[in-house]
Amino acid sequence: MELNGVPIEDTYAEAFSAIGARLLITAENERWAREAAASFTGFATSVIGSGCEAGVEGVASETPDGRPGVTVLIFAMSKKGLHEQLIKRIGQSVMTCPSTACYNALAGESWVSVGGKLRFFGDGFQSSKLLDGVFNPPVGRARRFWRIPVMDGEFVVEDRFGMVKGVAGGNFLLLGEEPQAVLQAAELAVGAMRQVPGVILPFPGGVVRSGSKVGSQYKFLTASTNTAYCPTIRRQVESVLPDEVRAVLEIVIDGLTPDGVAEAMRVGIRAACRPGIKGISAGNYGGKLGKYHFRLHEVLRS
Amino acid sequence: MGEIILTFKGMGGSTVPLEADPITPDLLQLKVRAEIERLPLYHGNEQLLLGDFFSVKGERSNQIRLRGDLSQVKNIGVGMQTGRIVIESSIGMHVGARMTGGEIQVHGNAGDWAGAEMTGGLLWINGSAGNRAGSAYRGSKYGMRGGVILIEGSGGHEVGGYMRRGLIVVRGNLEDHAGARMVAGSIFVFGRVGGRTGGGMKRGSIVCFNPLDVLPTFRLTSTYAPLFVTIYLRALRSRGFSVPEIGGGRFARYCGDLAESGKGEILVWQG
Repeated sequence: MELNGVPIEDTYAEAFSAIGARLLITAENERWAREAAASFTGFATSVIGSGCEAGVEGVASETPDGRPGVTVLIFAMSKKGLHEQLIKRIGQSVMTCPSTACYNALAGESWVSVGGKLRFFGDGFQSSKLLDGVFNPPVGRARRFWRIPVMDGEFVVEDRFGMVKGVAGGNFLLLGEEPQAVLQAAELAVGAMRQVPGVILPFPGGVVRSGSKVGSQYKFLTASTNTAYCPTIRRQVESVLPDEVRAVLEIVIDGLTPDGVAEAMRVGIRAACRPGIKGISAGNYGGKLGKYHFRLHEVLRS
Repeated sequence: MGEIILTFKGMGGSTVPLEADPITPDLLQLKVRAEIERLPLYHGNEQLLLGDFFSVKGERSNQIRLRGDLSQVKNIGVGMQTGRIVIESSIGMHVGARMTGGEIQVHGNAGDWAGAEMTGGLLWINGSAGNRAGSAYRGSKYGMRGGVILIEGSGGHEVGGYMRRGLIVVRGNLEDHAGARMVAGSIFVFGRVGGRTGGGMKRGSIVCFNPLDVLPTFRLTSTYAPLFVTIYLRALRSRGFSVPEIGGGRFARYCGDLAESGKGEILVWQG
């Protein structure tokens, strides 16, 4: 298969089940909402090294308090792990940020108490407001908001956050001749993919250059550089790179649903297939580890 | 499922209130028309039948519509758990008292004790409410413990007295002792409030949109824009209850009652 003259390898991206949550961070203006979101999603690139993967999903069109807001997605490998990350990151990155408030923005399959834990920061002066379920049709779920006194007024954080089973690790690889051309193609892909709701690209700028393989020659290391895709060592290892390829970049996608991940891959690959790109591939582990297999040809045909 | 329409035939000039406890969706949705007409109602000390006072149309529905002048009919929707009651006129005392769920819409005024000790559901009064709406009955520890009371007109004395949870919104005025001894919950008043508002309150919020004489056992802490007020106002608008736009408005926060725990608050809009 080719797209705009770029060969698409007949392979698949192997992705995993993950537990996801969606937060809505509001603030006095969009700048401070983004500051909090940037801090919240900082160092959240890979569950292996960071304990979670997180990213800004987009600007919210509607918020409970009517202020500007951004939505953030966060994924972890377990409910417990996600719960811990939510408490730490909201506590350290959102509560600390001037003027912010933090709300749940997901109808969860299960729920965890976050504001109900952070409230203790109020040292006995916290209070809560329970917004009755009659204001939340047709779900009918009441929403509790904790009010924690802070130095610029009150930090409002919702008590419970919803969690759903999502997908982490959707991906594709851009193989190109010139590193600059590959980076430009990656930027275009990221720009298109960020329009897809329900997905995030957790790596810096949405792009990762240090793709990894399972295992290492060092016993203490569980993952190491993806030697088969590193152009500078292609004669020293079993490389899969054509001779003309001198740079590879990967885009990793996490999403609330498999359909969302597939849609992001589709628009991303389409945007990336341009002059300078010599091939599109995807990362997998032989199909034995991940629950989800996104075959590139099927994704692009659908 | 259609609705059950109960049209009040009057009481032959009697001023003795009619006690209509069985008129709840929970019960009527299980009954055919003939069974509904045979439900017992008390008129004073006399037990009569529902069919003696109401003409009945429809059956087996949790949607009930009441027509006629019902200002002397008490206990409509008491303890109801589900369904909807629409009252096309004013209604007597205790409407929706101790209700746990469902919705009551009153297209008129409501008597005293509307929504008293309710724990869930929505009681929406298009007119005014009497005294002690959402409050505790004499001798009870707590008043309203959940749910929402929306009053488009005004309310009487001791509205929200002893309330433990829930929301009362009043577009008009309230008389004395609003939120007296409340333990938690929220009261929003867009008109004026009477004397001794929040007296003895332990926790909870009374949000006032007009100046008031705050009791000396309350202390001004700060003036700020509480986000939860905006959240509530937006929620009310989304439900179709029109409230003023207060974009950017600030509130003076008085904590109290310091004769109690002092963890309650009265918020007074500063414009």
